[in-house]
Amino acid sequence: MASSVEELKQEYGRYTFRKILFIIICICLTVTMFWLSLAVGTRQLSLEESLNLFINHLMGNIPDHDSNIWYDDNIVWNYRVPRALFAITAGAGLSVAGAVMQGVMKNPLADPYTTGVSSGALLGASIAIVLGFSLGGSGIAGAGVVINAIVFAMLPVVAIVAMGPFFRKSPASLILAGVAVSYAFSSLTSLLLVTTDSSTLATVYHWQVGTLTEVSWESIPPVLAVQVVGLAILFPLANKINLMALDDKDAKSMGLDSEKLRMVCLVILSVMAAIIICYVGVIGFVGLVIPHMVRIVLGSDNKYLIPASAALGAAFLLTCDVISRSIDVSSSIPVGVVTSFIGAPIFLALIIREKKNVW
Amino acid sequence: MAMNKNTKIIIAVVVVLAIVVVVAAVFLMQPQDVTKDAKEMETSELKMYGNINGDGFIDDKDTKIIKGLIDQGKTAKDYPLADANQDGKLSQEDIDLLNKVIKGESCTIWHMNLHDYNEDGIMDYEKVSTKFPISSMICTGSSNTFMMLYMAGIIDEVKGASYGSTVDNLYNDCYKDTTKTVKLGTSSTKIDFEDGKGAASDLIKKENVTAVLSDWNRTYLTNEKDFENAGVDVIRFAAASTEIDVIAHDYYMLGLLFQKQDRAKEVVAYMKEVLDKIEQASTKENKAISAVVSSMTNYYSVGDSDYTALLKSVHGKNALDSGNWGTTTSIKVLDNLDVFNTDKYRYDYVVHLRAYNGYTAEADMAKLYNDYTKTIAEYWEHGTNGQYIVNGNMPIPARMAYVASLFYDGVDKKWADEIHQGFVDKFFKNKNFKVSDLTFVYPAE
Repeated sequence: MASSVEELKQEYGRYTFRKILFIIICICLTVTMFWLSLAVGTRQLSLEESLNLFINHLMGNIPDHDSNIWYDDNIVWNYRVPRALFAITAGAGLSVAGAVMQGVMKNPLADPYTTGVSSGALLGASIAIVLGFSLGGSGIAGAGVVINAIVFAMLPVVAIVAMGPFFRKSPASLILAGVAVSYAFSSLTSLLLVTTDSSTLATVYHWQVGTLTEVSWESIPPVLAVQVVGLAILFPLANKINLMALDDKDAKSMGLDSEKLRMVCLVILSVMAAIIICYVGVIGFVGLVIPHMVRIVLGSDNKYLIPASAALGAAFLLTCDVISRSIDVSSSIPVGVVTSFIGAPIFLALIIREKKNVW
Repeated sequence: MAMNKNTKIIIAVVVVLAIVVVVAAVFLMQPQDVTKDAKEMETSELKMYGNINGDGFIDDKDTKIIKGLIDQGKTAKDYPLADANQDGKLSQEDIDLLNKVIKGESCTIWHMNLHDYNEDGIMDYEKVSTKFPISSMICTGSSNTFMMLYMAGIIDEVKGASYGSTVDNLYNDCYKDTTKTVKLGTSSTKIDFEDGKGAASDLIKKENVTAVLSDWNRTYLTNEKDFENAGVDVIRFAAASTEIDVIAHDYYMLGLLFQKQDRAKEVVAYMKEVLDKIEQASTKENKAISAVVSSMTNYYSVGDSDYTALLKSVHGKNALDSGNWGTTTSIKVLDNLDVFNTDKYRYDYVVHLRAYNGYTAEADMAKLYNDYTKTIAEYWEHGTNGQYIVNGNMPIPARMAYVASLFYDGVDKKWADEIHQGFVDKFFKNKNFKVSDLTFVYPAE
């Protein structure tokens, strides 16, 4: 008996170790990619130069304006560092949002945009770009797009929450409500876009597929704050989200109000996704696929699925951004294009190799 | 119950964040008073601090006047244009700065950029500082900008440019030769600073670029802060202007910054001569011209744009001026079919201004007609009769001359060709075009 308990402990230790190891590997990969991302871009810098510039700046050794390295310090610190930090934050946030959304909706096709935040944000951005109208006032260029996007992104969520009393808040109903709202917003966006010129269309398109080009230090605090708050709320709920895999009635018998928890998660996840979208557009694939990849490797326990998704999502989006900047074309390829191009074959390969059923 | 509390907290956080973002954005984007002294600058041919006599040059005449003002105890408040270094007082330091400029020595000058900085569609004067002189720069390469630089003799100094496919082959041996001028993207309005492999930051460092040159229009170089933050000055001109005071500033400023004052003087003198001729031809017949101008396929220009200004510069009336089009400068005709309602708008000409190969290759006219004139002909009372395609790849006054030749009986293509030939002979480097052998205006018949 003692030996079987010991074996069980050892087995559990190995089980936990594998999961923690996976997370540590992802974090190491993220750190490595962060370093690489400092050296990749228009200005040609070596890995050593870029790391020295970063560490020196971090230690408070900011070069004088007249010094030889001031220009390179500006590029590393004001362009590459915030871009990398944003990629890490957004990758982690979208992946966690996807993992939790799939869990609470009990649907493998759910993603952070299930409630229609992406179509709402796209409509808001299109109104600012095409019509020049912004809720933040006219003439504030990029800020107008951000403000419109965040306000319009929240409209579908508000609509679904407000309509809550009128329909059953089952996963299927919520997904269908999100689809309906998305279609309504998409039709309005299409109406705007068919009347505009090609250069405006190109601007909207870049936004539609997601690009990290416009990221600056100003983008980091709001996005980071929302993701940290969101993650801080979601991590402790991991066990409850595990229970939601059960039928709602069974979950209720264990003291969990699934409908209520689902609605709360839905609002949190939508806010997490919306704040990312409003700065960089709709980065697809990450929120849908990264949680599946993690599930295939680690299983569906949200206690590990959530942090592992965060770690892999961060590494994945940062890697995709580095690739998008490395390809020798006139400007960087939108990162949303790279996430799909790189992620889809990896995901397919995992599905083909996977034997166990995680859903 | 606990969940409800959480929900409230989340909503409160979102609302607070949204408010913070809105307030911060609005606060950060508030325009500063960069148009100070704009009125005093209006009559100056070279809109630069220190150019106290308002001509096109910085010379001993300016330093003498400022010396006199200092001796009389005058202040910068009384004579803001005399405060060359913009330190708020008149002193020997202003004279020292101007002497450096006269000698071509390195210093920082203060001048006006022509820029719609408050995004209201109207060109403003924006006070900026620029490192002087400039020997290495990059630019957004619209047809008008390239033509302005070409005529100003600024060629080897252009280390990089962004431009699209309609730029004339006239520049094959300079701006379009990527071994001399690195191509920085395919947009004529935008240069990325730091992004993928094709942005500007590496070139700036390697070629010691100190300035980026762009147009006054708000759609150009929307990321100018990236360049300013990297210590690269942004200089803006009105390359498509038809007004002599603006044209004079453009060339005098370029002449000063790039140390090509003699060339600038020559260009401005010829511009003045040509604009006088066009003015005379346009006013001689006292003829009422009602027309519209199109700069994009199936769009008409409205409001204050470079295109409507060209129409007005030859005393044509923009037939759409009576409409209420908001702040936009172009409207899509198919969304505004009222423009073909003859009870509201009557016009005899539709002038299509387009950049396509002009000096070195014949355009595919069948394609041009099909792209530009066909749709309008289906709705407009005159069909194709009265629609003209005018090449945008030529000096602005030559363009004006060709448009005038469409409107007025006393002047014709030959007259416009002669004016155009003058520019080619005087300012096109090693080019022997006979413009009368080429076609720059096509009737859509």
